[in-house]
Amino acid sequence: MTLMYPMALFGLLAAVTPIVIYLLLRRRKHELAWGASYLLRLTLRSRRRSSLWKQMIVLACRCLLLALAAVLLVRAWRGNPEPDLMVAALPEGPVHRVVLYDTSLSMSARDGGESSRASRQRAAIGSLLRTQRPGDHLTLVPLMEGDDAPLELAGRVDAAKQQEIATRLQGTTEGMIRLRTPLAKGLTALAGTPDSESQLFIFSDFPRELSDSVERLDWLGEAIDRQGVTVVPVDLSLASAGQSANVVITDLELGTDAALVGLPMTLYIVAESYSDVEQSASFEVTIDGEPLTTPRVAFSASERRRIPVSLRFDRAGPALVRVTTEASRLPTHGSRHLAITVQSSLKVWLIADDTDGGGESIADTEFFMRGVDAGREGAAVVEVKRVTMSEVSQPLPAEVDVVVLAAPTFALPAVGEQLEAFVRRGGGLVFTSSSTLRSESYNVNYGKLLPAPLMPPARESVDPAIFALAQSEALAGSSPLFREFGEAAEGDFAEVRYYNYLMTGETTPESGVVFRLSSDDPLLLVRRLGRGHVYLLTTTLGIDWSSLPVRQAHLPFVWRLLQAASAGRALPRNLEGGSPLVTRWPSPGPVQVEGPDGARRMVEARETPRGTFVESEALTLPGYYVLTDEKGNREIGTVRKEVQEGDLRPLEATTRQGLTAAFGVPIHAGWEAAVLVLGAADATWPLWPWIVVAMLLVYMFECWFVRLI
Amino acid sequence: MAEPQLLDPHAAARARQLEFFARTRMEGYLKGPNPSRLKGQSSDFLRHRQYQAGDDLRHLDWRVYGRSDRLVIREYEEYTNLEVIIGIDCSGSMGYTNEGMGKLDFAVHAAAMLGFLLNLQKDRFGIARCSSKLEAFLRPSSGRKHLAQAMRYLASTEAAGETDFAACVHQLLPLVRRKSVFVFFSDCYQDPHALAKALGILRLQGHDVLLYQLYAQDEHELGFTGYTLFRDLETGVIDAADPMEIRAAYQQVVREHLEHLQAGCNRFGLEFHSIAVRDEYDDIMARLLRQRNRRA
Repeated sequence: MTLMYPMALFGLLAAVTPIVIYLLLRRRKHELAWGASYLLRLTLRSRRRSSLWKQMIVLACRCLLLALAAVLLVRAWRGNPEPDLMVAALPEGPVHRVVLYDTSLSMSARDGGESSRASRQRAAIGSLLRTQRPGDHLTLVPLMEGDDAPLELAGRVDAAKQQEIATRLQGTTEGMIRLRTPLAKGLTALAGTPDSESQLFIFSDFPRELSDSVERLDWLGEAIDRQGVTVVPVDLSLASAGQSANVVITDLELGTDAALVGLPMTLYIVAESYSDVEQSASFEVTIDGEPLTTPRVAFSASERRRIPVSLRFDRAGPALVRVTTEASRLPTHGSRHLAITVQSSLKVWLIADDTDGGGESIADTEFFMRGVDAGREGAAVVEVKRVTMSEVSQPLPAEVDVVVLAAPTFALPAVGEQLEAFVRRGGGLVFTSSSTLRSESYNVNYGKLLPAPLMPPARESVDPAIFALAQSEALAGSSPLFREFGEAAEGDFAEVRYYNYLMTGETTPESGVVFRLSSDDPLLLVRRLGRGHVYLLTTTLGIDWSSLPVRQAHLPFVWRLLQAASAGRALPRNLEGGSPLVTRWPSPGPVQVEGPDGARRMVEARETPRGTFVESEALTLPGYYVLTDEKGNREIGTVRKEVQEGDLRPLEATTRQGLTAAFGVPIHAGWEAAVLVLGAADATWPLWPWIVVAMLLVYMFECWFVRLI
Repeated sequence: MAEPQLLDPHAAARARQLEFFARTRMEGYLKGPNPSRLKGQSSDFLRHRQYQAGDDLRHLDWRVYGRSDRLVIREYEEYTNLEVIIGIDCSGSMGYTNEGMGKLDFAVHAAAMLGFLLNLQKDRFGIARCSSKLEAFLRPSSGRKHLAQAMRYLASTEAAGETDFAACVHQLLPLVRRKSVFVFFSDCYQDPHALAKALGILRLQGHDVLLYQLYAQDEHELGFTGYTLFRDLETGVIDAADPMEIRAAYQQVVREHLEHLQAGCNRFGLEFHSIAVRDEYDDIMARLLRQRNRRA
């Protein structure tokens, strides 16, 4: 039992008043000369035996009446043993409640329970709406940027409006919430009702990413004090959220959207564990729905890992790689797709001095040819054609995928022009080096193609005792296509000795270094030009300047180099949001585009001078899209997704303390905890009606009893 | 004339407008308005009765004898004056007074008014003061001297002693030789059965009996508050009680007591009136006497 005015308990002393009066009256009894003593004695004779205890009963009734009156003044409340912790008590006067709500994607997470954070938020806000009284105000302010405008509600909220608001709270959007602006909006709304009591509810799961906002809330405490606002921050995530497994696949790295049949590739699953304890997660990799492998990986707390998975495509055409993990608590973060165009053949033109009837590079091309010819069974066909410089000075055929300039001595302007056009259309170009290469001529004629201007070789002559190695650190962090060469499991690429190499100048803006030597000079450079790629190998293809051709890594390196160079030949399949999907199509006609949400749209495959193409509208929804037509042709594309809300863990202690200091009150762990602090609407039952009833009953009994006796 | 303390001019004037008759046959000395037990010479025919030996032959109805050959006596109504005994209970309990007129005062004043009326009617009246015994008795008589004596007698009445009306009645019986009207003023605080029985004896002896039970309003309501010591006016014994506590039971006892009195009086054919004592004793008496006359 709770007492509102415990001091009034002293009023219980008044209960002894009848006893005192009784005793006083007994003492101060007055004498009366009485005539009808005959009748009085007749009366007393029948009552004498029981009068004492009857008097005591009457006295007790009167004492009880006074005691009850004292308890009535005390304003006693009885605690409800099972209060409804979903409904908070309201102040007696009018109240203006501003509700800041969170519709970010993380709110759809279920922290091991049946209900999601969003559903808990709906329930809490629903209870606020249901308890709205005439004269009360309620303002709903979204925490998500660019979300709906604040919604003002006055007085009672009917069921239809409640349903509408529940629907409004149902959807979630991935993005970061911000506290500063919504808080300012909320306080502004509260300032408009100075006669009402102000309450500011902040419903959110308070993700860890909020750390940035905390520092900018210094002004909040003063504003809250000035306006006399009661702040009720409610953390809708469960405390155990930080202990639960939550692995998010943030990216799939393959380095290209094109692959060759039979050529092993390494897919890197970039995953991050948003858990405070060690967790493990299995990743199921499928190609076109067929399971490939299911590696299980252990993550330490908050660890980001890049998990290599070997891929091999057995048939040409579009292929969809899907990686899923069961350890993700948000379905949208536990699945990733990658659309790959698998090619069955590669046409390579090889230009070397020997093809023009001379030069020292025969050995280089020989080693290259051996590497290409040693293709594995079932692998794509690489057709290498030796061509002369004069052939390249003409527009290159469309079917050519890669041109390898095996360090011809001279460079020709006409060749440079054709090669530039070829690369811009998506073709691949590979420059290799040799001692006979005239770097000045190259710089002049192929300057628009080279990733960096060429300089003289590092050494005048090759000395077997002096060599450089590829940097292992650089190898590990290089492009996904070449990353495998930096890993010990892939053999001895790091042990290849580079006795000599061409020095290069400063790389162009659109260029980068793939491999760097231990001397810190580039070994392999790449330049993106148009849709194509230009690779520059600063050493020879053969054994003149390096020991690569005699190493196990030579064969995969050649294939990987060709694949990387030809990556631009395939149109992009894995797009950023907002880009259209463009792909070749066998024949003109209607093509159906089915999105990840199941929505279907029709587009038209149109003929162009370069072939028939399909261009979809700009795709924004992350996931994979399937293009089909009536003839059974099929293409696949994906829209990449950037993970913004992967971390579902509650705030770190320091950040939470910062927010607590800003709000001036601790963040309640759930709505029930907040209701406990605010007081449940039915947490206490007023006892005064019962006391009044009891007083009435006692009084009636006393009257009846007095009349009876 | 009457003592001014007991009978004010207003009451005397009211008395002059009233009449008091007996309801039973009286035995008076003089001619009067009251029916006598004796058959007289008046012109009011009463009845015929069979001649019995010794009857005065002057009263034979010869016409009847001539027609039916039967000897019948013709009887006429005899009227005589009254003899009234006014009994006043002067026990201690009659001395109770809260405010205004007390019971004894009322009784004395009412007796004075009645005496005055009877004297006007040339009726004889006597006064008996009763408590546990017959305290005093003024023999019935009439005339101005008797009235004056009666007034003094009444004025000297004081409340004292216990109540035993039955004993008083038994002592009074041999003092009254003629059929009279007994008018008692008492609070009747005694056993109602014994009281009714004692008065019943009077009635059985042919007397007309009126019992005026006097009570103060407080005595029936017990409207006091606070713990009270009730000192008995008759015995001096003190009874302590909380009036609020016993009020209901007390009122019930009062009701039962009155019912028993009424029942006892009815049983013996006594006229009974319960009178709440007020200052307007003349109004009350006038009302009661008119009622009596109407019933007669």
